[in-house]
Amino acid sequence: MEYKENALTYKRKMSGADILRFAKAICFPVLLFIFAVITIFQFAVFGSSILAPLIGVMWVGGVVCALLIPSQKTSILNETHITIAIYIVTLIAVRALIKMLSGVSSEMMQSAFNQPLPLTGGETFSGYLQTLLYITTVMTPLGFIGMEAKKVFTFRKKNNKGKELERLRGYRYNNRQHFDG
Amino acid sequence: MQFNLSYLLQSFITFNINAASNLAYIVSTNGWLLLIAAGAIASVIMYMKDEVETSVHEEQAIL
Repeated sequence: MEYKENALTYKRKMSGADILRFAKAICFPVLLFIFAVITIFQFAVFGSSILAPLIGVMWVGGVVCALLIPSQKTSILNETHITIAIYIVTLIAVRALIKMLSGVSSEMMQSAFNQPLPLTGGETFSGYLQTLLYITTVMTPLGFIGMEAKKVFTFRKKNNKGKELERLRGYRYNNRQHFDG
Repeated sequence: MQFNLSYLLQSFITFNINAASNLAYIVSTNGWLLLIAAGAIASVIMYMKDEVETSVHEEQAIL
């Protein structure tokens, strides 16, 4: 309690839940940034020349979309961070798979199946995985940016001054926020 | 082996200085990392702004 002259006031201080929410707001993007930097350097030249620009474009694209559509700001930011996190985890998983499979030759496959196999069959599987890595690397950011651009166009097309005022009035009468789909 | 707190503290500080220098070098050599850092900072600011706007700090007179 604080005592002001000729008045006794009660001031609610920050609770543990408030502090935890603030901590989550800071830690989640920072940890994701550190995770992204570590992954970029694990991939060496591929990471610094391809992953770094694509992750940067995804992140900035999500932030710009959140700024352009304020009613969906939190959901867009959460979606951006989760997409980047899953993207990084997928790339690490595919890289680990390639490392595992690069030690397997077609002779090993022949001995496992106890029958002749085409010589190129066993050796190109790691090549398919490398192609998968390239496709995942490029298509995920392109798909994400396309999705955010579509959201912005849909919001701009559907929204106008009248609808925005209705949305704001909705807080007073319905106590619900209107989300554009 | 004698446990010396000053050595532990010194090595901890040296490790952190090395890490900060490495990060500064990495960011200076690859400009795209600045874009990622800008996105991260913008995300933190937007989350914090949202929390500050929605948190309630009551203050009322008792008497």
